[in-house]
Amino acid sequence: MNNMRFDIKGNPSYGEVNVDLGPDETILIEPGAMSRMSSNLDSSFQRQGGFFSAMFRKMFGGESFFLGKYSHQNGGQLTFAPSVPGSVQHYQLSNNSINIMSGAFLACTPGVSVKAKFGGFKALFSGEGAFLLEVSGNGDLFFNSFGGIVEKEINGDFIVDTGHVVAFEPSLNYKISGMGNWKSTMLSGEGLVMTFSGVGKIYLQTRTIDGIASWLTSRLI
Amino acid sequence: MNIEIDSEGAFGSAVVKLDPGEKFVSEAGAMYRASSNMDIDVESRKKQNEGMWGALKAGIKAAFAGESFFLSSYRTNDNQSGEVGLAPTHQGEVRKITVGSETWICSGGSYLGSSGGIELDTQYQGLLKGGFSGEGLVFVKASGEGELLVNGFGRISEVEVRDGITIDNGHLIAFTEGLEYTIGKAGGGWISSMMSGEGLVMKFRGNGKIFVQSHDPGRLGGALGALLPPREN
Amino acid sequence: MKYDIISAPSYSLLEMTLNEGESVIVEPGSMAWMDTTVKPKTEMKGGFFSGLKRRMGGESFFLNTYTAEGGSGKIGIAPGYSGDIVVKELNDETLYMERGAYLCHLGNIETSVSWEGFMGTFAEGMLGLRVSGTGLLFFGSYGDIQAVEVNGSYTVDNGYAVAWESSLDYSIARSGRTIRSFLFGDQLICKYHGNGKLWIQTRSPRNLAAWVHPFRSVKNDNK
Repeated sequence: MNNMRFDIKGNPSYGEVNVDLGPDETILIEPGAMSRMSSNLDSSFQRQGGFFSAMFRKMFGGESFFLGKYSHQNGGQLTFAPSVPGSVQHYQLSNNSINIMSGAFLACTPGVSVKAKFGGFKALFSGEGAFLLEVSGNGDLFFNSFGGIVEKEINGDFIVDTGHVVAFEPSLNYKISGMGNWKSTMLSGEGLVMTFSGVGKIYLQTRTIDGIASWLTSRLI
Repeated sequence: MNIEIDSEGAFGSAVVKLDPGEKFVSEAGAMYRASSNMDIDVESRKKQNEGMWGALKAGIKAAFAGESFFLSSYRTNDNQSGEVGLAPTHQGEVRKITVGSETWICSGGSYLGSSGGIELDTQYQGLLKGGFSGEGLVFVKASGEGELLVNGFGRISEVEVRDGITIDNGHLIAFTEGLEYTIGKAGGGWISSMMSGEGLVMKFRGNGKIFVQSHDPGRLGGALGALLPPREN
Repeated sequence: MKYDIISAPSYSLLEMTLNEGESVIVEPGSMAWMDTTVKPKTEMKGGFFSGLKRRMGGESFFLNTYTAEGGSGKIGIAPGYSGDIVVKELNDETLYMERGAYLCHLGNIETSVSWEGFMGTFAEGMLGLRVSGTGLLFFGSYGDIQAVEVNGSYTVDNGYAVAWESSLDYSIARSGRTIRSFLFGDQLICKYHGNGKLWIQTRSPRNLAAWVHPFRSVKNDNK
């Protein structure tokens, strides 16, 4: 399996990815993410997965139906970036999986499958859309954070505001709740939190799009 | 005149130090700090064939589009040196471009400021080709001699044209006059573009320089706007 | 207590390790992550009236107190806006700051609304917060933070001043003439006078609000 030639520049403020596509090598990226490319590259679109899983992901996963597809028989260069500023991470998948929050997905190669992970009731009541994607298979995955990205090794229990979660290994369990009792939750100003338990790696971000939206709301014209 | 650019981190800004008699111009609203001997004047730039009211309408519309038709100019008022700090609206880097042997075409939202010797044409119509109305494509032509300050949403890179480069319009900061380009949709057909999410792109060929930004403010605006309460008008 | 400011200077987050029994008082909505040994409590700091005073300053009614119980605990704290975090040790001192800049503190510090401002339509930033006492204070900036030692006077555009020492006075002026519109930034400027430290941020929330305006959906008028 060929390893994709890429480099990430601009982390932690403005991560962007440059890929050097070989002949007929394909990359699938989030709609709108392409910033510049060699003029010969063909772009089209591809619907991820079968019809039902694509519908499901659109309703629950928050990612679009379609991904932009780029390749050319002669290869070419392509640069892409997420909609929010922050860090971009590359993750190599070799017959394993990782859970990522919707919105963090940026790009992948065709051997990677992206499925909405229905978290059961706990996902529905989280208030942030059912937002977990299970990404698995073989190939390259690129995901992004809003703001800085922090990697932590969890061994035990850890509480994270849901907006700050980017990705986590499937070995971790989690439950979603408010900040203690009902009154505390309403008054504390905090949203919902995920309490992780087990052993595994988690990726966190230092800003949230909801955070900047609530801050801006009180200052709107 | 001396321009110091603070480029550590994600929030670029520039502090322009002026000697007595020197003038600097910026997008109105870019000034965030200044020594107390700085005089600030507001100049309006009219759109072609329109009077004051037209300028006001154009200014308001342009301001909503992120482009300012109003410029502020700075001079010290006491025959001493002074300083003025300029910052863009959103986060991103700031870069200084020397204008002289080359004339630069700068995207309106990327224009931050320029020294007195630079002539600014805010009515640049050069991009109206290929049947596009130019709606949303506000460009400013900077010619003459001096320093041009541009801001980018994200990090700023200089790219080589080589055999041809296609740049999504939301990522274009500035390019030198003389480059050949066409404006079009990203994919083959319209539907293909809509699906893959790219809007307008410019395909460049020839000799020249191009500055691009890593991120597209329109995409952040869309993501943020969707989370904010609706507006009155 | 140990702390570390990570992801500085643009997406700064404060990671604090509290020893068992130690508490930190935090602006609601700022907790990013924490160990399960850190316990939250929402309360009106200083009673009902001071809660009200804080509310009118644009800060929330309530402040949250986080305490490490049954062991030490780590807590990550960050504001909603991007930018930097400043730490200031207060020794029986007073600081004025922009509403919304306050992040958290430890020790004997009181926060209250400062009415010493200009309360006009464009008063954003003028309704400030008075912070005084002894302890460790953390506040945030939208964008980069630049500290200026004012010696005489200095001008700052409205919305860009974050915090200043109480030894400084300020006055508000209009910056120019001719065309005015509520959209444009050179409306009001603040001149600071005296000797003292002034913290300036390099972005303004109001400019961001004006810029994001066309991206918001329009209200439907069903008459």
